[in-house]
Amino acid sequence: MYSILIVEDNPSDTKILSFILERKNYTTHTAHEVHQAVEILQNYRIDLILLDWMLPHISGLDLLRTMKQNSRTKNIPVVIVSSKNELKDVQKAISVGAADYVIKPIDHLILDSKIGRILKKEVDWLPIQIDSDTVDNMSIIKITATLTRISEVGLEIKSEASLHLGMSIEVHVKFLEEMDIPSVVGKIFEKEQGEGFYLYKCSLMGLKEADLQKIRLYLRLIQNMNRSKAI
Amino acid sequence: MSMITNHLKDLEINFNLDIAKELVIIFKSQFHDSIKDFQIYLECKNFEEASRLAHKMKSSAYNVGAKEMGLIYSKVESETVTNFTQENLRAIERLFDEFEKECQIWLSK
Repeated sequence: MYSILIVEDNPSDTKILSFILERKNYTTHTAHEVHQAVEILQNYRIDLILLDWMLPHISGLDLLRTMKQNSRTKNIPVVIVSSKNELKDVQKAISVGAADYVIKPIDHLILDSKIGRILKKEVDWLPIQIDSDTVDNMSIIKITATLTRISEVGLEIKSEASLHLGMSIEVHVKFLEEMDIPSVVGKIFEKEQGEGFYLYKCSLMGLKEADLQKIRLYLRLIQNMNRSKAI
Repeated sequence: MSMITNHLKDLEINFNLDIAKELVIIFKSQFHDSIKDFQIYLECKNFEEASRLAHKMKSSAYNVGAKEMGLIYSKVESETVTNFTQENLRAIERLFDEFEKECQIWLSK
């Protein structure tokens, strides 16, 4: 059974996070500030941490920085859970070493998906096959890639360029731009080599609830279109 | 049905009634404590602490669907003199009264 540490000073968010995790049968530990979290890390095996950014006395990001310098804790994946919703905040958290980023208010489906992806190495890809005529080209740090699949938590892209696992990238997708989502931040968590190309799976990070709703709506639309075609 | 009642219904569906009620109780309790603290911070112009408290209250307000309150907390959080005002605190109190009424409607159904 996986053991998850929640570091959160707001009782309202702690209640929601604990409920979501316990419902999925994860063992949970709770800390309201950094020194409590450190004590738990010293005494228990922790598989993942949900870490609030704004904590009293020492910030969540400072704890993350310290963890990354310690050989015992540096490999524990940390998901930042914060109401800081600017792209620069997400990028900062990733640069310090966050495995993922969830924006408050907490969406239980998104949180479930992200935790599942990190702990069980699974992705809740929605059963969507985007038609070839709806596939967009996009550029990622001066490379060109093709979007092959999308879910609420990630993108799958195909490219000739070789990128590293763990690399964070800024992705510009035409159909997202049309929905007023100019760019998204992704982190490569899986790389597969094909003949003359690579297939990358990237987690989506720091999307605002409104943007996620737009993407969900888009996915549903494509799904319905595919269903109608099959009939 | 209002935005707040809708959100509370969603909490019931996505989680359960007990959790929804607990979140409301937590928010109400935090609200009453925070109003006193905000007044103190306003008197001594402690924008930093006011911002920290507003950040926390914003999250709790959104968790129970009190989005308008969340927006005002967000303004207070911005740490600018023009946003941390007596007027904004009064607006928060007014919205909280509406929130309580909405909660009663939700619980009676």
